[in-house]
Amino acid sequence: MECAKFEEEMLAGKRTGELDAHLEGCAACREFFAAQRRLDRILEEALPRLALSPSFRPALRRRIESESRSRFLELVPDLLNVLGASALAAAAAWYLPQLRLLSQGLGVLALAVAIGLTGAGSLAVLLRLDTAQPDD
Amino acid sequence: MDQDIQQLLSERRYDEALEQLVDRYRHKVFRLAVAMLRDPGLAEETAQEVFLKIWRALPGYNGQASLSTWLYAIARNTCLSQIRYRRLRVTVTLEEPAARTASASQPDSGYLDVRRHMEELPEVQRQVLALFYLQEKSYDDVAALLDMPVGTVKSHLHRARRALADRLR
Repeated sequence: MECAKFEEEMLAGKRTGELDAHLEGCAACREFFAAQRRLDRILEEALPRLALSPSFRPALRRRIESESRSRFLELVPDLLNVLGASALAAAAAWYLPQLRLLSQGLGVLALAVAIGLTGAGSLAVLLRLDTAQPDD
Repeated sequence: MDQDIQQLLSERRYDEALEQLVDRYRHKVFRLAVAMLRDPGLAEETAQEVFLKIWRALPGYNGQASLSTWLYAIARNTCLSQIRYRRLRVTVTLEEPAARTASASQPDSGYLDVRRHMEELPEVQRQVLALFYLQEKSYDDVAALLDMPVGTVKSHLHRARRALADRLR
């Protein structure tokens, strides 16, 4: 009964005067205590020696840079779409007012469409950039 | 504790936040991976995967859980995925004892015995025991890493130590 109580203390790594006194007169507990200390020593010596290699951070940085690049490349088609639409709309806005058959108002309308398209396209790309975080 | 990182996140300075997280948590994540995967090489690879996932997920971090809790959950899940993926067999390499014992006058057979007996423990006890020694005997760290109450960690640890002591008698 008493040994069970001291075993708990030994397992918890406590060292009290009472425990020392008990160990003096109990061979079984002395053996158990010695086994615990041996176990402690073996595990303490063995496990903390593990460490990350010095290449951990550079390798992580490379992986992140590589992923950032590929994420940017994924956006290239969208960016080209925006640029293309903007160029087309700007060209129309410049060219249409030159035609005598069409009014100046049409040119202004085309310009407004050009600005709208460019703004919407840019917003779409920005939103995609912001939310393009893969799930965990 | 991670207020500075939270501040960086609120300013959307994700790369700097990640740098801080790597500085602060890389060893703990690595040790958790070692305890769960039993292979330091694979653990290091997995720790990289963990931080890559964290980098991807940082913009979506909503602050509901503390950063460490959130990070440890990602780390545990990544390790579990590795275990499922690789269907790890018992190949414990908790440490390379050769270098240590080579210089000693007597090889420490106790280490091999303990290692063998650790493998016979229930998985959770083995993980708690390994992590306890890897984390410099911090109950709090083990509890946080494994998402367990401290009392449960102590209980598993006591059972594991008792079982090992019995087997080594």
